[in-house]
Amino acid sequence: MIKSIIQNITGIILAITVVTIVLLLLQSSPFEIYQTIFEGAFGNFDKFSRTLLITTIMCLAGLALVITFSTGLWNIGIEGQVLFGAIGATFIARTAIGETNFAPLFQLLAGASFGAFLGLICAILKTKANVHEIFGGLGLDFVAAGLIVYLVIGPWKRAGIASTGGTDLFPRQSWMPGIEGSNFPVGPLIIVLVVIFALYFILNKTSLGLRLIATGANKDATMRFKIDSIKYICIAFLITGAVAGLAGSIQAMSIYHKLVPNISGGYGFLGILIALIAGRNLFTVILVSTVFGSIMVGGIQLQLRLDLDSSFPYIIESVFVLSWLIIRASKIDMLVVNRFYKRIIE
Amino acid sequence: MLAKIFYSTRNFFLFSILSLFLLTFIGGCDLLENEEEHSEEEHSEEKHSEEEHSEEKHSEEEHSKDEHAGHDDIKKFGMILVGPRDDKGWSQAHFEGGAYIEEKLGAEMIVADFINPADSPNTTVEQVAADMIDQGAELIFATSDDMKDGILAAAEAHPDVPMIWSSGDSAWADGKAHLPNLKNLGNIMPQMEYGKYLAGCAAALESKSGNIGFLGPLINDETRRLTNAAYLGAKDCWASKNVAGGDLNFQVKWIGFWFHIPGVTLDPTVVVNDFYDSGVDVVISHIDTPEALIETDKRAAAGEDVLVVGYDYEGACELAPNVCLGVPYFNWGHAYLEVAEDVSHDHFEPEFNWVGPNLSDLNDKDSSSIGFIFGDALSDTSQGKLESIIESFDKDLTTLFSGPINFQDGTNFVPAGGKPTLKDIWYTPQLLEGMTGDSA
Repeated sequence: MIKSIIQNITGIILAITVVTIVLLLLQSSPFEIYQTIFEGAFGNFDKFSRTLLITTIMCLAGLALVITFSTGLWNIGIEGQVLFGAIGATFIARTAIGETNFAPLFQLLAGASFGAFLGLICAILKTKANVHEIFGGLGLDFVAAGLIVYLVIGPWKRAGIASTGGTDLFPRQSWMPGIEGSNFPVGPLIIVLVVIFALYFILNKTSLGLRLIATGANKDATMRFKIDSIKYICIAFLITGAVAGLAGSIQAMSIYHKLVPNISGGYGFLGILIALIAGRNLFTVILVSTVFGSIMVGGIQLQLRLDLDSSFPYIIESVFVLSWLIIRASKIDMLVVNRFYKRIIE
Repeated sequence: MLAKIFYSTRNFFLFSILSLFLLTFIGGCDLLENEEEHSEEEHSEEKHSEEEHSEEKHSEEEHSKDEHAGHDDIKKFGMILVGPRDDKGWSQAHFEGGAYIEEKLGAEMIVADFINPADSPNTTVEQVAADMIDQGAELIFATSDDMKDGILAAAEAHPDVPMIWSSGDSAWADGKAHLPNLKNLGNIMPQMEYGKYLAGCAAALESKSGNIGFLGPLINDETRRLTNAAYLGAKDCWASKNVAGGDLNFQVKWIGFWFHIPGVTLDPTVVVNDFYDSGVDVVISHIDTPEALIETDKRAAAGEDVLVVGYDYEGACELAPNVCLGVPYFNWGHAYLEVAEDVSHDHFEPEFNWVGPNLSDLNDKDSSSIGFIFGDALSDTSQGKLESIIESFDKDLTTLFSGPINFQDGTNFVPAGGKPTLKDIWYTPQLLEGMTGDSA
């Protein structure tokens, strides 16, 4: 246990070292950059709240994928599921319900259902039509992105305007409710906590979780134990889609208050990176989401304060992920840990 | 296998990592110091350089006090751009406008570029404005129609900080979307209608076939009225050429946003090539970025007889000098400086400023809100014609839209001999009769 924590920390330090080297090669000063990002993300309560909001959305995307990863599935379609969630939330906001105080609840429900629906299509394609989930998912991502553009510039466009800039703002009742005068994301935080506990419970305490993991471990073997793996693949996609849909709904309700193309913010794909790093570990998902969320929110300061290019946060993020994966695959962190671990024991 | 190789050389490897750490640290410190020295020169806000910095500011203040009789000029202002600051188009024109304030008042510009949902999905205008204010910005420019929702929210959240929403109408008392409660939000929009009229005219004068393509961004009030202005220019100048039997064919194609977003908008390079493939010989660009110039240059290099009119940024023609007929451009600096001076003097009013050009000296940086640069591809005769049109322009914008003008659906916009109101022009609901393309 201690060894694995030490190994994780060693991996992070090594990855940060690589990021630092890359930043140096780009002729910037890494420590100034780290400090600016940190202050930008946690400098005051307002910034902290913003970071927390982005982190919760990323976290949902990462958490969603834990289920499909556990079931041995590559849910590349998550990006589309996030988009569908946003469409669901917008759909409700544009109906009569959108102007009532119950709107957020229905928006979240609709978002989760829309996301789950797209997830289920991916599962059906995989199980019935034998389309690998990577290809099915990728295709559905394009479908979702295309659908949003169609809605924004077609049936849901602003009066007299044909722009892909977005729909009209939601009525105030359809915004994510929060504390008056503060942007602290109470709602999203509650949602993410509920999802974490639910997923933890499902994966560790229920036979459903065990069967999902078993399906992921060996689909053919589970069939022999009379576990219907097709059913569990569908369930995994439904859960993942629903959680991803929640992430999309929150994007629409808390950040933009309208539907825009690219509303997923790339969080679906980022969620895949988070899940790649975290594996099935829910705690690591939260940790990595926090790191990414901080870089995203604090990253804008690099441009404002240090006058660096706006692509810097993305460079930092991608180099971090890439070097982490290389470090993991080549077991360099293990090597370092073994060396020091032995010393400590000796 | 890989692990084994590493394992056999682990001592060497560990040593390397340690050395890298050390080198990184030393290098980082070095660079930090260098950057500090550097930023002092650039009036950056490094803590370590505060002393030197304030001395410099003092001298700047003294300098500006000479000019502005005892008022403290603003020290910092924010410039929120929708695209990159060097796009050779809309955003660069704003960036240069900010640089003009820096030059005249010695204030420091805080720039945030790429602020749009596609490039910065995690960053909202409201958030950027808050960050800029945190950093000491005393005036904020939000420079895109697309920033409407964000800047309205920011103005509401920071009622003490003057802000400008360029191209918007929130401060127009006669406007359709007046927000009288936002006492800190003004609007600036140059009367580019004159520039687009010239653009249309230049295209028509140099077009052999009379087939003109108009590369439009998205459809809204602003783009409709400016596209209409370009059409009126093209119509008048085509008529003056008196081509026997040749009708003007003015086609408008909208890409869906101010610039190309892959997967979301149409690709402007494809649209421009489609235009040329369909027999168009001059394209008028109206999007934020200069794809039309680059594509036209390529087609011309391949031997085709095609020409283009640029937009937004005065240096746009430099991208394709051989095919560029000219460029109507924005000179935001003039109007932006006035606002910055008003804020410095505590005279800021949330005005709607649809600012006209200096018609007697269109390209004067210090007095004209727009300009027009003649391109190398424009013939001397055409240039002479354009110059005489500029001389004949009336200061009253409504004259440019003198009747009779009909809308695309055949209904009357301006009766014969009449003029529309400014409000009629600003909120033009349709393209005009004779144009091909969507009105909404």
